[in-house]
Amino acid sequence: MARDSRHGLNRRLRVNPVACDGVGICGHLAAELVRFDSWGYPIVTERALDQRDLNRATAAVAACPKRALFIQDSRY
Amino acid sequence: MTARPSPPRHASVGGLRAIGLVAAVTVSGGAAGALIASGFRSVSGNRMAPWIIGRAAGITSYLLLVALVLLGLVLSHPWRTRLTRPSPAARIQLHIALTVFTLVFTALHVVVLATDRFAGVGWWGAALPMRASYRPVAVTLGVVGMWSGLLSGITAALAGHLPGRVWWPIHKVAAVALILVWLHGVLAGGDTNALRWLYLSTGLLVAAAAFSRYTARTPADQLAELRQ
Amino acid sequence: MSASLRLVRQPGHGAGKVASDFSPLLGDAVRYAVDGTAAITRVTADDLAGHVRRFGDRPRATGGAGTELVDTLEEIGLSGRGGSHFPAATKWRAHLAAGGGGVVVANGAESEPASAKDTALMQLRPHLILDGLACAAEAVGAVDAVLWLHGGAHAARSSMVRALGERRAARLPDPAIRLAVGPDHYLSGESSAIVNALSGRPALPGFTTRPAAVSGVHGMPTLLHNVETLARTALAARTGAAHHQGTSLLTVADETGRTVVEVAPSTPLGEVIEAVSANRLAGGEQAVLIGGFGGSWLTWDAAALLPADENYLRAQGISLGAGVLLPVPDDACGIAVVARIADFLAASSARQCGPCLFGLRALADGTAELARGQSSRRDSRRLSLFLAQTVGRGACNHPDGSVRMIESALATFAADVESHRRRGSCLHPGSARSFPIPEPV
Repeated sequence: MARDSRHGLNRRLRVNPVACDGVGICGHLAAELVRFDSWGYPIVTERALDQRDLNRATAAVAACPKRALFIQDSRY
Repeated sequence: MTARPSPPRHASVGGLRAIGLVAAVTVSGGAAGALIASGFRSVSGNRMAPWIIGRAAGITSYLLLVALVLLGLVLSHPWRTRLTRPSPAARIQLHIALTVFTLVFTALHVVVLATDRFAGVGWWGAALPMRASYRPVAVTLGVVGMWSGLLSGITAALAGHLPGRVWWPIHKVAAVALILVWLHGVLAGGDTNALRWLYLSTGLLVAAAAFSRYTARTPADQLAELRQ
Repeated sequence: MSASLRLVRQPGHGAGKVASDFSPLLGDAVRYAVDGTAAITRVTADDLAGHVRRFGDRPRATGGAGTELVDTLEEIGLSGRGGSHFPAATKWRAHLAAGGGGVVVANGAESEPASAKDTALMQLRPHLILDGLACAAEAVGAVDAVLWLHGGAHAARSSMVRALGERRAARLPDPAIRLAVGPDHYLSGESSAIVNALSGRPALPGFTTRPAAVSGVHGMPTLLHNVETLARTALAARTGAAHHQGTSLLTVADETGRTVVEVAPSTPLGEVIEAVSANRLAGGEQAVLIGGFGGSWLTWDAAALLPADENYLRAQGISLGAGVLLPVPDDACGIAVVARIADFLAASSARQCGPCLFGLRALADGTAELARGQSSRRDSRRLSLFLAQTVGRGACNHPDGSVRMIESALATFAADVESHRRRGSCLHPGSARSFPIPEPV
């Protein structure tokens, strides 16, 4: 479940900016969730991920050579 | 608190679509090549037609590969942050488009020469090392370069299904396919001065770009300077 | 200096055991040059005996006393004086909820070049800081208590080292406190940088998904407080919430130096600045940077009547931050000051996060073009784009502060920005009479 409203559990795509090197594969695999700034670094969406998003986000997380992306569960 | 994602249970659209695209392009490119070649043979009766088409496709595919690798070096160049156009997303799209065209012309090159009875290559010679009777070493370089390039492309197309630490190193190392293809071009097709100049200039261009990309000061270098 | 006596208003109630009624922490104002940590005014550190005479013995904070102290901190609303103004009690409770123990750190690495209040406090009241650190260590049951300083902060360091020696010699019932000295660069005072350094990594900010109070040094709960926050903790442990005085330490930074004063929350910021640095001026002040280099610009008219009260300011979207007040007079170009600060902040990036490394540089270049009067309409659109693309993009808050400083400057100096853009000329040309922005370390 991407969003469990009973528990208020949300999943968000997040980027570790220290690890990120701006390779750019995330923006290709999850174009709906990731756009790029003027220097080629990813700006990831702050919205909670639905099931469709989650597949793309998972692919982007797996593909990142720098392991800079992750999916965070948060309760709000 | 953070979930380490498990790989998706069912392959998502992106990866399959990419593989499908590669297959479709290969098949249709090859078929088109065969059709064109047989068409030329039957219509003109010129035995040299497939040979000329094959070589033209080879040179086109080489030039596309040069552009592809150059763009790859731009994509990962430390100076890329100053480049505003094309946008980072468009650069990757262009990189992929170049891959597709390179693949089409490589397929044409291989199919036409493999089916040309006078070329001395044959299907086995076009697919495996040292099985061609025509300039076996030169053809072998091309064959290995082709497989290596395919490896680079396929692993990248599978990014998202393959972990980043798998596809990324393969992608970079396999890009040396260009060196093999360059040697293949020089040894098998460097028979006129114009072509020799072409190979020399494009080779130098890629070498210079690669040198610049791997020696330029990176953010990590700047960080190291701060720590001293 | 008698400034502080005039600045501090009469508090509403007595102050218990605390000796000074008006200025419980500092006493008189302390002046520093525009750089360095040696005071211009004569400062005498409290030795242990003087400290005990002034403040009384340190109350213990073990067991129930510790719980009581956390309640007191919550009641008085003590907030992080390093600049974040994060509620101290929330940190303590998070630390305790994570199992307690772990590490407590007193952060004396004062990185804001315009600030001198931590240095002043370490030079004058070293024992009060150490009292606060000891109380914090006892309250959370820490296994390690660390005092973190910049390597170049010689005056503060010698004062603290002497105080530590006195306490050891007097066999005070303190947890063991060790001194750790870090590099001098701007971000080595950032909390995740300190956690990294104490964990054996380079002293650079890190990306974390959990607060240090939950997972800090070597993964242990780590309670990290600015030295002023700890000194106020030591006061609160003595007075309790009832006799608490919510003063602030502020540094007024101008071209003549940095003056540290302690003021009551009701004191208007304009009064603080005028008391310290009005005499130097012919035409009055134009604007003030509040908080620090990563703070907010306000016009003089907007800032002068605001009280030195974090809660009040927060409701207006402003923060006292690290307590810096940096006035720019009417006959100086504010945009030039903004450009120099933007350059300092860009050069101070830890260079780890792409958006900070490239974004702050782009912002510094954009403000420099503006200051030179060479900014086109297209350049100003790009500046707005870069501001939007830089905020919230780092592992630490360094880029956010830079964006806040520049965005507030564009609003505060709006008329002058327009003049720079349209005519390439400044509405406030003339002197360079404001705090000189240093070269980054």
